[in-house]
Amino acid sequence: MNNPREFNNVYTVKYIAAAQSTIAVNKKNYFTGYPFLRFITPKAISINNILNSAIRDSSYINISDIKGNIRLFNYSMSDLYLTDDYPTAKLRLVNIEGIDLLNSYWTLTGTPFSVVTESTLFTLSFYY
Amino acid sequence: MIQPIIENSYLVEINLGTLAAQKQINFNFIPQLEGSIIYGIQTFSLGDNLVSPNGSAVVGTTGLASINVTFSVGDNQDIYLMSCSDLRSANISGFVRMFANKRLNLTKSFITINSVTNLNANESILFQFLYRRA
Repeated sequence: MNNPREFNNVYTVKYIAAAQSTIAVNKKNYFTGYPFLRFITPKAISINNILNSAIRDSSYINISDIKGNIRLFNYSMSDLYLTDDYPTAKLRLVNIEGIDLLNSYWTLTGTPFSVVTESTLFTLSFYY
Repeated sequence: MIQPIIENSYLVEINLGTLAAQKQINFNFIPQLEGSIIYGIQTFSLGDNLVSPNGSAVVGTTGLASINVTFSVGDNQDIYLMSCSDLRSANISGFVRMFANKRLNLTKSFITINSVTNLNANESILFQFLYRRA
C-alpha cells in the first residue's frame, strides 16, 4: 500500500446504538461522548467493524471542522471501510485542520435499521 | 501511484430519469464547488452503495460502463467522454483518479448514456469530488 504518512496516534470511536432502537432514514446521527477528539487534525480516516452490510451500503458520513464547515459531505461509508472483504481498500488520507466530532454525523438511506440488543454499529478510526 | 490527501469532499448525485441512448444530462449548479479546485473524482456503483443520499437506487457496476462523463473547464471540455468505470476506486485497486487542479464548470459538464444496457430508469450515478477552496 502506498502510504506516504506516518501516524503517532490512532483513536477509534464506536457508534453504539441502544437496544430496541431504530436508525431512521435520513436522520442525522451525531457522534457523542468523545469531546476530547474535538480539535485533533486527522491524517487519515477509516471505518471498521460494521455490524450489518445494510449500514455499510447505505450510509454517508459528514465530518465538520471547528469552523463549522462540513469538510466531508455525504462521504460514502463503504469508501472508508477497510476489511479483508475489500482487498483493494486503501486508507483514505485527509487533511482537516481540527475536526469537530460533536458536529459530525452520519445518515442512513434506504430502509430503517432496527437494533435488537445494544450494539456497536461501526467504528470510526482517526489516524493523527 | 500516489493517493490524494482529502481536504474537502462533496458527493453529487445525477438521476438518470428515463433512459435513452446518447442522452446527455448536465450537472446541476453546486455552490460549494463553484470556483473550487478539484483534484480527485470518484464514482460509486451498486457494489459500493445500494441507495443514494436522495433514496434512489445506484447504477450497477456494469451499468457504469455504459456511462461516460465530460468535464468542462470554462468552455473547454478538458475531460472528454471519460468512462465512469475508470473513476470507480474498486475498479482501479482502491485508488482515486487524480486531476491537475481543475476549476470545473459543472453546469457545462455532463454525463452521456452510451447504451441503456444494464441501466434502469431513475437510477442515480454518484460523483465524489475532492476539492480545495481557491
